[in-house]
Amino acid sequence: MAWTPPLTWVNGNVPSDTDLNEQIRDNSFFNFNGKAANAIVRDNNGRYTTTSTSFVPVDSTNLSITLTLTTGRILMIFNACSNNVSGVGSMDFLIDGARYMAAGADGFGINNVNGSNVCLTAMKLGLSAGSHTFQPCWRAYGTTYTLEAGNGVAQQDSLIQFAVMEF
Amino acid sequence: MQPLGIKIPLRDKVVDPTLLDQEIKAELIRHADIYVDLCVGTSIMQDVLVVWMDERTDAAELPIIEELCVGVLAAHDASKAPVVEPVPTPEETHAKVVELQEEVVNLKSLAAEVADLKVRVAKLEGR
Repeated sequence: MAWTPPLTWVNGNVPSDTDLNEQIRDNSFFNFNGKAANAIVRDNNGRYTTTSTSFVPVDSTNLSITLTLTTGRILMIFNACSNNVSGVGSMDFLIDGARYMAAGADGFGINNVNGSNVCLTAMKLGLSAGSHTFQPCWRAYGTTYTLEAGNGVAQQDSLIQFAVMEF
Repeated sequence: MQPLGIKIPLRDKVVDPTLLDQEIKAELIRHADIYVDLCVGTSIMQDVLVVWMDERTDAAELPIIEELCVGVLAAHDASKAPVVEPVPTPEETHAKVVELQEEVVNLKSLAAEVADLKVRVAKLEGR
């Protein structure tokens, strides 16, 4: 159900069934489960790697979420594990192709620990109502940076989750 | 602006990401310095190689670069990649440090024992 801005009632207003359904029923449904959200668990059947020295999408096909927003407020979550021979890399989020932490050359910071969890959580406010696309992105620093994504090998077989929710 | 991605199917070919990246850059240099200057790196996704070119790259050049990379991929042999030793985990490093510290203690104890023996030998020789 779509969100309808609440009316300001004044003395003398007689609400119709349409008004009540829209103002109470539909808006309640929207608040209950009508906000946009999507969660991807990615089994790539193999590792993701990059040597890119500019931020690029990790996987623009399979790790990309497009939501139609109403409130313009979103929470982005990314969980993965860097590989046991991983090089040095850093990560960020793309919102409509623009890097969220663009003011920082290294995004959310550099990861250079092998076999460590890479967990990002970011909240963004003030997006316009309408369609927006979200993607995790990454870069390397002179090495091959690697994320596990279900390669089927013991102790390396972890998956990636990427989720975006409107609140 | 994001780099431009040239997507090339791997078609189940086994690749070594680091070696393939080096081979692609070597081929780009061989063809034209400007190509490698504009190449910001490569990614491996599910059965897809992506060659990332700086957004200033002339779109007309992209098919040429793609053709070069397809050739490199066809000739690529992942078995030629040098074996990379896994970087030890912090736990492994800690265990090694503890092991070495114990060895130092043992060596100090042995050194003390040797010194004691030397004293005893000297005493015996003195007699």
